[in-house]
This record gives sequence, structure tokens and C-alpha cells, in this order.
Amino acid sequence: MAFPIEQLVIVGPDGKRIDVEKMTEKLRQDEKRVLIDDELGVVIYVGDLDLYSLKPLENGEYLAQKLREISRPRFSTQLVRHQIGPTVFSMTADTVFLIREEEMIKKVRADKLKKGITLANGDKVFS
Amino acid sequence: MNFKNALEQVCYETAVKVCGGTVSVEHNKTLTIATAICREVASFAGPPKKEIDVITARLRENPALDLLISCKQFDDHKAEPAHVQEWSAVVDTMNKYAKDTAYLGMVVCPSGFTKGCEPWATTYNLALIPPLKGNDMVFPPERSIVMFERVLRALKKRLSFPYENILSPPEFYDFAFRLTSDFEGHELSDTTGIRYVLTKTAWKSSFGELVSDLMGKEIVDILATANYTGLRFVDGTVFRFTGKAIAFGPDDQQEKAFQTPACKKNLTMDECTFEDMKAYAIGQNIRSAGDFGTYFEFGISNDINIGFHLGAIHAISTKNPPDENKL
Repeated sequence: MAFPIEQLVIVGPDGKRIDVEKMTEKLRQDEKRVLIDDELGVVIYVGDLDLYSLKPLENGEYLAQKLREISRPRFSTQLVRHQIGPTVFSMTADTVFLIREEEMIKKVRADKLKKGITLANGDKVFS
Repeated sequence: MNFKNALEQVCYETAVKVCGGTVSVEHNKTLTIATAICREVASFAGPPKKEIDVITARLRENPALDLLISCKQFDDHKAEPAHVQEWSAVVDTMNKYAKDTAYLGMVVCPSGFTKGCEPWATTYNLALIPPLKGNDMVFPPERSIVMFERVLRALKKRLSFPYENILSPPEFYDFAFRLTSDFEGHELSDTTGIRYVLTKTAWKSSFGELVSDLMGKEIVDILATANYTGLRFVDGTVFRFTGKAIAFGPDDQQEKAFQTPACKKNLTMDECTFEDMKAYAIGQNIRSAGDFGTYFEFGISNDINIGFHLGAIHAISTKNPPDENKL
């Protein structure tokens, strides 16, 4: 779910960008870290490696979020593309967004986001 | 051992397979859920008592951590918020009065959950299987058991690392969701039938995975038997086209007696020899791929497309004009 692995920006504790593909293949050799490796894909624990995924913000900066697992699904869901605020994102169809409807906050899947909707954080969906 | 229903039995057996002998089933266990001032219950007759059926799986010792599993088997409807709310109260009470043991909760309901279950599950940190995906997708009942086993196996290994965060809402809910949400893509790929499979494991695969696995690899041999045609690559992986199915991945030594395929070249499909095919392909790298149903074609680095049929192979130069660039 969420963003495809090709779009993940992961940095180490020193702030330098890490090649996700290479790191995944390397960590895959460490049996203890591999939480699951089956027909659905592989999930690797990285919570102790001080890795952060960077999410782009409107002002051009990044929000760093600590990574606990890296997941590489073999059957990811369909990708959809939306322009939210000034940024165009490719994301999996099951990515969840919060939208405001009158006094209610509702969860909406990315494949159900419509042009003109305003997200709960104030960002508008342009396409 | 007695079971209330088939779901409880299969969940118990699955939990034993993953956790060993630390799994138990209890029926009609009486639990005083909470005091009447607690917001999730209100009663005129003091703290209510509940009879519950529970599968308990001990996931680790020192400090102890138990998973309390509720199995809801409904044939014609989904679990409703009241079912999740009830389990929230059970797990909450167990944690409240526990001395040395922490408890995590999980509700398994193969027919699914209504949307109102999510707030209860996230607030009280319960794993829901199958996951609530925000669409109308219904997973086959047996898939829920596969999800259950996947979450249990991952959780067991996850607990060998610091796990305090898992105990705080909604981390365990999210953990189980992340491990089960990708079943959606797996289910959707079912609708097209099993065309791509991995060698050795026989796992279902996809065109995308074939491309990412074989792209750029150097061809070292062409395979041809009565059952398939294909390629062997420098790293030992193989590609086999059997007509209906396409297998690729590590060589699982399914080599059968060589049978010379019909070999054709150019758009005019002129006759050629198997040795010609080898000369075109060996030493070249994969640059592109296309599945045309009755045959599969690779674009290779010398501007040739090499196509695999059952019992035949063709090669076509991609240089223009075709008449001046015949093989």
C-alpha cells in the first residue's frame, strides 16, 4: 500500500539517501530481520537501523518519518495518480486519505479521490 | 479437544503450527468486563459478566505476551462494531488486571467487517482479519486463514526486536493491516488465471515480476523439449514457455529430453536451423518482453526479437526497413 517502492526516498542517520533495492537485497540475507518472505512478498524489520522515509512537503522540504519495516509486495495494487496541492503523486489505489465532509472526517481510498475534494489538512485535489 | 465451529478449529491448528504448544482454547470463560463507570459498558446490575470463547497464543516469555484471538464465523453477514467492541473490552480488561503479562487482541471473521469496526479496532489496538480495505472486496474464507498465519509468523519474529510500540494503539492494528493489505493485489491478479509462475516454489507471479527479474540478463542457452521452449541465463535462471503457462526463476532441473523445435526467421517466417537461433540469441541480453498469448517474445540486445511458441521459435530483426535487414 501507499507509495510504490521506486518512489520511496529513504535516508540513513547521516541524512544520506539509501538505495532501497540494494538495501532490501542485503537485508534479505539476514534471516532474523525477515519477518515474512512468501508468495505475497517480503517484509523486513528495519526499526533498529535508524532509517527515515522522506515525504515531500509543499514548501519543498521533506518530512522525515521513522521506518520500522520495508515491504516489497509481489502483487501490489493498481497505481493511481493525483495532483494534491502543487504536487503530483503516484500511489497505490488503497492509500488512505482523510477528507472533511461538513462536520465529519472521512477516510477515502486514493482510487475514490475526486477532483475538487479538499483533504482534511486543507490540500485540494486538482486531478 | 472440542471446538465451537470449523473456523475455531482451523485457527487453533494454524496457531499451533506457528506458536507450538503454547496455544489453548477456552469456551464459556467468564470474564467481568469492567466497572459500570467504564464508557464501553453500562449496566444496572453492577459490572457485567461475559462468557467468551478465546484462543490464547503465548507469543513470548519474560515478559509474557499473549495474543487473544476471537473467531467469528458468520455465514451470511459481516462482523459488526458490537463484536469488535466486545473484544476490545475483553482485551482491555485483561491488560488492566494483568500483573506480568501483556495482551494483544485479534478478531478473525472470514466474512469481513462492517466499516464501523475500524474505530474500535484502532482505538483498542485490535488486529482485524481480513483487513478493512475501504472497498467492497470480499476475500475467500480460506484466504483469511492464510492471512492469520502470515500475521502470526511475522509477529513472532517481530517480537525478537524491541516491541513496546506494538502495544500502543493503533500499532498492532496497523502492523496486521500492512501484512494483509497486499492480499488485495493478489486476489485481483486471480481473475486473469495463473499465467506466470515461479519455478521451484510454483508461486503465482506476474508479467511485471518476469520483466524485473529477467531484464538485462545474458542468454547462455536455448531450451527446447516436447513440453516447452525457453532460455537459460548466465546466472542460472531459466525461462520456460509451455503454451498456457510461463515459468521463470531459479533452475529447478526440470530438464527433459531435447526436441528440436521448428525454427523460423524474418516476417516471412523462412525456415532456419536451431543452430541459427543459438547464434542469434546466445551472448545477448534481454532488453524487452511481450506476451502475445500464443507466444512470448523477447527483444534482445542485437536488435532481434526472439519468440517462443510451444514446439517452435522465431527470430525477427527489428531494424528498418525489414526487407533490407533480413536475418
